[in-house]
Amino acid sequence: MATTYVSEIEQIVQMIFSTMLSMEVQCAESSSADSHRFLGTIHVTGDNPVSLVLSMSGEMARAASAHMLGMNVNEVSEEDQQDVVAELTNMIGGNLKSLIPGTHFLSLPTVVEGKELDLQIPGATLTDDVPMEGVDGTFRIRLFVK
Amino acid sequence: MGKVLVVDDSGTMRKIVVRALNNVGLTDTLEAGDGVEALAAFQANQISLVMTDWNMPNKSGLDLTKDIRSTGSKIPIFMITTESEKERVVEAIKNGVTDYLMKPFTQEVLQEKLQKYAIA
Repeated sequence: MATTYVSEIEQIVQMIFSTMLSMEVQCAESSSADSHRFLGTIHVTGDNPVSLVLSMSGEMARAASAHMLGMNVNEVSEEDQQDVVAELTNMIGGNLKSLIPGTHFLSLPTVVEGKELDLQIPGATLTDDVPMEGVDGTFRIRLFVK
Repeated sequence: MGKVLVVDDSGTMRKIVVRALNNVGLTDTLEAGDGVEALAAFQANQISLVMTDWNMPNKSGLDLTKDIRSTGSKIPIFMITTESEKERVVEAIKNGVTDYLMKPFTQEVLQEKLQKYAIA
């Protein structure tokens, strides 16, 4: 049975949002990734490879970008939002990597933007699905083990 | 005092680092999106401090550090990264990184670490 990291992911995400964005977020009952506009992906390769997918609503990405960049919400560009989702994906993946036993390397993050986005990782199994929310919107972290 | 070279493939992180540098009085900055751009900027300018990410396309922050040290330069190189395993930190320091900050961090912690470079 694959190891799960639900509580670790929750703690990492809360730490990142609290320290770098001054935003409080918590686990949600459920959150449909279908309604999310951004999809960030990062891969941890090595002894126990995993792939992490962060999906986020447009409202949440805009608010997170404004907080992270010290800007007003209406000043945030599409590029800012993509870059912030990429950086959040990178930080969550990087911090999770240090908890996985063995030697690992982190890929660069990738981000796509669109409607009804979904991602298939051939040969990987979804082990953790962590819906989260803040006052500005919802997001979801999924972990796939290869 | 020369320029501060800020190296990160994330424009967001570059903005955060430049803001912290400005807040401690270091306003003469240059930005690069990867290690290749950074090395060219290092060779073409008087650089007194490098702030770099580790994982970047084309050339990593670690390889950039090795290249800068191979020129005999002793300028401080400050790495900001999600690489938090002890062996990775040791690897960075062995190869010439002088200061290290793990993400996530607060703006206050970053500025506190940058104060010594502002004073120097």
